[in-house]
Amino acid sequence: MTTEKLKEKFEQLYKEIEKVMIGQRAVVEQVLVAMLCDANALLESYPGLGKTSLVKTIAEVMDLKFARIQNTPDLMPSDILGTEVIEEVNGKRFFKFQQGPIFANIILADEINRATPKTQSALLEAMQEKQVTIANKTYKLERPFFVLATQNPIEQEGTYLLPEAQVDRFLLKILVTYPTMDEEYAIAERYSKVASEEALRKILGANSVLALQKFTRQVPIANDLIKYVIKIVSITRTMKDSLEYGASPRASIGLILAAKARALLHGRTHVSQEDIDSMAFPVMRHRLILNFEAERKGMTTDDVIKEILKKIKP
Amino acid sequence: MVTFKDALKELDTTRNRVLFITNFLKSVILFFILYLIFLLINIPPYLALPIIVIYFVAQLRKEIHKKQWLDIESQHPILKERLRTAADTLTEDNIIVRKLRASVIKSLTTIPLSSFINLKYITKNLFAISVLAILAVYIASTGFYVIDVGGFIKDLVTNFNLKDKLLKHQVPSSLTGKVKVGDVNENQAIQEINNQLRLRADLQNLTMNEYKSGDKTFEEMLSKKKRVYIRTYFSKIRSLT
Repeated sequence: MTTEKLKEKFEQLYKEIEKVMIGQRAVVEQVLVAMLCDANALLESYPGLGKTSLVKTIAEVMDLKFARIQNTPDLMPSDILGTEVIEEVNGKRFFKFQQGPIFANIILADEINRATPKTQSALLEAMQEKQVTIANKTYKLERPFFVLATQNPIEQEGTYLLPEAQVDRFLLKILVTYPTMDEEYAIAERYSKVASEEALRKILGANSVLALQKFTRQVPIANDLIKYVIKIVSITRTMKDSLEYGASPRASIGLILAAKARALLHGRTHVSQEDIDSMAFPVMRHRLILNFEAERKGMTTDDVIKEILKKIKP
Repeated sequence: MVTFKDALKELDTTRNRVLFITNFLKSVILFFILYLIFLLINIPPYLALPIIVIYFVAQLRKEIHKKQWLDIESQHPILKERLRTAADTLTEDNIIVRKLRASVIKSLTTIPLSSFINLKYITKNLFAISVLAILAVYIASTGFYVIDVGGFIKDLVTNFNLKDKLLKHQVPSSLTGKVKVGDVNENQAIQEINNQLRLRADLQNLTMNEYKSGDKTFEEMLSKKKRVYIRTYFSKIRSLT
């Protein structure tokens, strides 16, 4: 498969997704980047911005199994991973493992910050290891496996914020903003008229996704761009005037990988500086901790990243 | 079929040749400028040559060691980011890298060799060299200079040497027993006579005042230091004879 054909495929993918999702092209791109990197993403958005629709649509267009987990404070790890149930066949009883919703290709873990730390860690462990151990038995999760966890930036009372060490495991933190006037007009017009959803074509399959994940890692990057990435990440550790803590080397790896995925999505055979600058925000925004002074000024981590990109050149 | 490595090698060689020519022309211009300056300030103009040779070597080294692919990409935007990515990933082999190399080679074939040479720049430099050469020949033939820096430096050197020799109240080295070979023509005998002549001159100056009053004996009027000088003088003359 040539890169031109890949670009065509991705364009078809975007077109199919746009039949359901109006606008939010950048969000769709970032979600696809996370999938191509075989990594997970954290989506932060207000309610009603189409997060579930987006993930469902992507799963349908890519012919992947989709599962949704609505996190609540009473959700138990077994509700996510699965449990052993007693079954009786021909008078004989035995334990049978009933798979939980995590045994899908794409998982939407809605409002992950509402689940207890115990449940959160069960999900995060499965995300990291791509396997589940229950009653001394290990069950491998089907590939490709991708978790899109969501967080509500409001209504933080009674929630269990993900610790920084856990948040670091998500490759991207994607911010979903409100649609523009034109986009909202189109959304309101379409969804107030159309009762049923349009049938979507299947553009890619599970094997294609796996092949694309392999291709992503093969995209070449110049040495000076790798140094550029490292400069960006390492400077966050010395910016004591605005940051309490900077990003770890995981951020360097993540940024290079995300840049490679973006290059592939754009049909390029090499990583460009534009890819790195664009991916710096979703890769690093959740890995930086602002100090009190910066918070007092009302700065966000995006502002800090903008400042860094202005200062540093490859 | 041209391999990518061969293509990079050829590109690098072409670039180095072009760098050599452009740096050479730049150095020749600087040489003539320096030559003219030295002529105008009456300093030997051949001194410009070693300076320019050092400059040429240093500049060429600096240019060659610059990031060559970035340099080429800046001159040919069609290769932007692709050339150095392909050059940095020579050890990798996969579909995407092969596709990248193929696209770079395709782009390189569309770039003419003449695009590496800035003809306008070379023409300007050759014109400047011609003008400077004519000027240098003309000024050298007339012997014209604005400031005589060379002469000033020569005088400075000469004066400095004499000054050394004319230090006041220096006891002649023959009296101190420390005859310095090389003080005067490296000849000890001549040094001795020279010291004596100096001593005679010293004595003349010393005795002039004493000669005016004739009441006391000459010896009584002299200070001890002067008496030592006279005694040593006569003993030396005696030893010579």
